[in-house]
Amino acid sequence: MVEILIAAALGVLAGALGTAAWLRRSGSPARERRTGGTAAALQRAILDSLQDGVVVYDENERIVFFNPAASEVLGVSRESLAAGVRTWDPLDAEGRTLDEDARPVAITARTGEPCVGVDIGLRTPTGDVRWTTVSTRALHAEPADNGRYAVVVAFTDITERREAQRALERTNAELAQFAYVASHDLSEPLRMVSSYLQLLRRRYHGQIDEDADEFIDFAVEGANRMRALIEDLLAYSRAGRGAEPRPVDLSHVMADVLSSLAAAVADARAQVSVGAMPVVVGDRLALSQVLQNLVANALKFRSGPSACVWIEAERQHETMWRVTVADDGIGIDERHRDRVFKMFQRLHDREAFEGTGIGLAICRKIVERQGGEIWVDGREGGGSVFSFTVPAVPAPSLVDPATGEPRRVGTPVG
Amino acid sequence: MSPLASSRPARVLLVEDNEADVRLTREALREAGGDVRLSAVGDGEQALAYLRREEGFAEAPRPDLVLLDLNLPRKNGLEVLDELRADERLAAIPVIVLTSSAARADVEAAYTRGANAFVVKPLELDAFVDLIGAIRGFWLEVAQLPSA
Repeated sequence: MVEILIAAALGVLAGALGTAAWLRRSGSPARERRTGGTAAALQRAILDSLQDGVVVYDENERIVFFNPAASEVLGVSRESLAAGVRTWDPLDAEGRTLDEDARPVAITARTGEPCVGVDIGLRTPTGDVRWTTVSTRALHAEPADNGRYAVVVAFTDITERREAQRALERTNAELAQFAYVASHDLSEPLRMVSSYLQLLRRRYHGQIDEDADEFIDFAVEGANRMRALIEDLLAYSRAGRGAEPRPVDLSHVMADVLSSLAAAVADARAQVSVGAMPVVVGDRLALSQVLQNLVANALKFRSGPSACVWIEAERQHETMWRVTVADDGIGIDERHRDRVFKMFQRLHDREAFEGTGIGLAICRKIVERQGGEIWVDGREGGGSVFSFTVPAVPAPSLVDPATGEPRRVGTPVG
Repeated sequence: MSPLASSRPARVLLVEDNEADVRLTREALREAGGDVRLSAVGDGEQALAYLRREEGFAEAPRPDLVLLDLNLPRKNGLEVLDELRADERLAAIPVIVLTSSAARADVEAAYTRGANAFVVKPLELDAFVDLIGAIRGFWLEVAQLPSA
């Protein structure tokens, strides 16, 4: 975008201010041919209609051109801007006053190097701050006689976008905090309810009448279920808040997951086959939680007395791996496939399959936090295929994280 | 046999502000069996007054064991621990922190201040009864205690 703006600005300048000596140094022959009146008028019209501000400074940092959007975004009248009035204080992305020398315009004027997409706040004399993304480029390849460069600045008003993003971050943080506090604070009274109900059952079971026994059983069951939900809420609010991403060998993670699921594997009389697993970038604990949930589901939702599970990985494209966990289980009807990733959504009644419906929601949260996606497809011949993507190790560092030796990507488990 | 030589019931002071929790501990002790006399106070200031036999607690017998919650009104469990360990008459009394928080920082802080054990209250009644039974078994029967 900034390239187009700058090209257009150059065209207009060449047309409108073509006599200025400093400008003549800019032109390639091709550009000069394009600087006829019609082209300049067209470019002028484009610049006038833009929502992005464009300002051109000469080598003495005097404004020699600006479009209408510039005066609007900067909150300075065209007359004042033309007279070189600067009423705004530049702030860095964190809202601190920016040093004069650190402004993108000053950097480009001093070095001739471009600045691209820098977030700058503009504090007006009333204290309001408008946020912009600023790009700058030197107007000429060579500096002027004073050693400084003339600069083209293009900037976009991102105040609303930034505010929306800030609000979203705040909401997310508040929600996480809420879930954590709520589940913590709910645990205490629930412990009382559940303990006393159990005490009632322990002391008075069979001593009042059948109705009383049944009522107490229902109440105990309800309290147990509530406790499971609270624990899951806590687990969900904690999920993905883990460590910095680093290289993780999924073959090791898979080996851990299978050993901790050994009982469930035996229980499901399952055949589990694990293909070649890559080294990916992520949080090891979180990734093992994802794989553990997916494999545990594959074992749990089996269609008969035994289960087959296939875990494989393939390179999705340059930057991602796709890991799949396939099973020959009961499968998921196509219309429910999005629903299974939502919190506390279940497709089966509790008699058929236990659970609160948090596992896949946690998987989705973790996978998305690490920049991946998770989804489910049906498997030909019955069953489900859960897939998720996870960042690959950037190409230059395809080395074994343990030995530092180059490694073959996709070492089988074992 | 018990180091207390069964000559008298073991004495335990429970510092806990939640009435329901006090009663639950009493019931768990009853379920777990054994002759234990449980006294309870509801905040940190009362706990120290009890142990020092101050206002209202002049007749309070010195406990063999203190069960201390951390979240207490007026003076919290960690402050009680600090004062207890700084008081040479009380410094030897074994204190078990019995709380619902398993926060890492609380565990470290409690041991640093001289807690003898840090135990998290389980959610299941059966587990709680087992826990109280285990505390009674170890601290009031197995362990040698300072003279009360």
